[in-house]
Amino acid sequence: MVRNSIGVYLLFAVFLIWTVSAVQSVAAEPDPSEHIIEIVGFKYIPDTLSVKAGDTVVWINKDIVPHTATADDLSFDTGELKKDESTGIVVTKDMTLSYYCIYHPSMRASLSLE
Amino acid sequence: MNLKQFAFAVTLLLSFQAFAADSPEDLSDLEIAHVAYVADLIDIQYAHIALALSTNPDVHEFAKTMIRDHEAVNEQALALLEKLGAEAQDNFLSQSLQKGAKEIVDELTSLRGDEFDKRYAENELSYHKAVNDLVGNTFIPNIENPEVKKLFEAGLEIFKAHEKHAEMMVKKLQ
Ligand SMILES: [Cu+2]
Repeated sequence: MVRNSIGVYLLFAVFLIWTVSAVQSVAAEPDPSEHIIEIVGFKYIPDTLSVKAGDTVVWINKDIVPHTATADDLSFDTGELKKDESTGIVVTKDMTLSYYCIYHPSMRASLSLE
Repeated sequence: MNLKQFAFAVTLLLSFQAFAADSPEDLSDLEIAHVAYVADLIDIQYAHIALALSTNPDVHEFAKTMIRDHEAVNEQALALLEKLGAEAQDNFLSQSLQKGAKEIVDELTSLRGDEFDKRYAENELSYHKAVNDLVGNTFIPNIENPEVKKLFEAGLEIFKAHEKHAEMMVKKLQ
């Protein structure tokens, strides 16, 4: 009898934890995700990308020559990315979305906020 | 094309003909690699002159990009040659490029201010055009080693971007 009631309590506790965590994950924003933008052949691929605040965007340079991904108003900047180097930037709500390469100003692309 | 550029083109053409037995199409991979290496060094040299003589911030940014990119390409070229256990070979075309460059250097170093900026930008445009033509139409179709060919294809992509960038700069300085 004693053993049975411990079992019931345990079952209840497990149920409670499961419910609470289920409710929490419904209430919270979806998990922030990581996006990768490759720089290949003097192009950002993809050149438009839908992101949400809290996400991380990682630029990785696959070209021989260094590039940057720099906001039009300079508010974010990966800094110099040599071949195979990468930098991640966390998306914020009021972030500038269009960016370019400081070294090669004809290279342009943009993010869009969901 | 101004008179000086025309003269340079004619000199280049004449030197090709003078070495008819030794035309650009006949260059080996290692000779082609040498030409490209020299062509990179020449543009780096022009850029250093621009950094020393120009006060225009756009010209400075452009020149720094030329140094950064051409050095990166040459670094890859040297790494590939080392991997292949080979050494680039000097040839008539490398020498003719160097000769032409010497004249441009003399001209550039005699100019100042807007005159310098305009001439530097124009020369960058015509120089990248000439080199891209050579690389795209003569070198790449003739290169035998696939790894060397791949590097030249990447290089051509870079120099085409430079050509566009130079074109923008020429317009801006007018
Ligand atoms: Cu770039």
